[in-house]
Amino acid sequence: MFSMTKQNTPRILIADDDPVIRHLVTRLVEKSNYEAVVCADGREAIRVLQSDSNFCGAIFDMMMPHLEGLELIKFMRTEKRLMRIPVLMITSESDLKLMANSFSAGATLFLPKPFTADQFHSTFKLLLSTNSNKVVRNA
Amino acid sequence: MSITQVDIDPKEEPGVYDRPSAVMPSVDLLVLGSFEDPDTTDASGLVVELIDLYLKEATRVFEAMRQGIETEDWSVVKRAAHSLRGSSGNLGVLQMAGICDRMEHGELSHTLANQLLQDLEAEFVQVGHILVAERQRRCGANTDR
Repeated sequence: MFSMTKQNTPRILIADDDPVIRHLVTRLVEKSNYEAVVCADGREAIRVLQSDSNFCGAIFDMMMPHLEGLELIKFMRTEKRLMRIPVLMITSESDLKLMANSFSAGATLFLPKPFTADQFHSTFKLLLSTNSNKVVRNA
Repeated sequence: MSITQVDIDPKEEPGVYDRPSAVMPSVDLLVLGSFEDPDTTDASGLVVELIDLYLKEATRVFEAMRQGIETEDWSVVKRAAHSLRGSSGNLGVLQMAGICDRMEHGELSHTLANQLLQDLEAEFVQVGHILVAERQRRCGANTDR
């Protein structure tokens, strides 16, 4: 279900099994002038990542069928070509242990649901500022 | 802003589970409206899209819950509740988020799960009215522009 590649547009990988949140996150990412490559679950995201590492950030839901966000991060952190990609985890769980597990697995940031558009944009900006291969964008 | 409250008698059916609070609104339209994009001409586009997707998705989730309850597969029921809780909370659909939270985190029996699903569906009728009215208001506002 991923989108077509637009030339020279920095890309963000999004994986969320909830169509509502997935659409919301996609539109907010596009609003920031990034191309969203959208996956409906973790298994689809891993298929994309196996052949494509051209992302300046990734946004994953924590709980997804087939392959959870945590497993996706663990995979990314063992692959040299994917290691540099900062990952934002979105979750409706407020469990501190889950949060700690995400960070120890290699998550860059954590955004709890519910979130507002402003909260998303601030966190997204912060996420991209952590990317060592930063893309400089026009304001 | 219009906030609608659910009129639930807390004394009704005692002991099944804690029914949703009558104080909490069904839909907080301020939360939903926060996703409006003030920089575009189609200011309400995203909100209308979210309403449409939510109404469609909730119906699909109810069916998944019903099948999970039928077979007493609580992992299916809880996963469905988790998904609907996330989208409901994020769009300001507060009462449904609360019922889903009980379904996701409570110890389920056939009776309790059925009761929660019935409450969800009853609440969804209310939510549907509010969201459809909001959708019409926004689409009308766009047409007038």
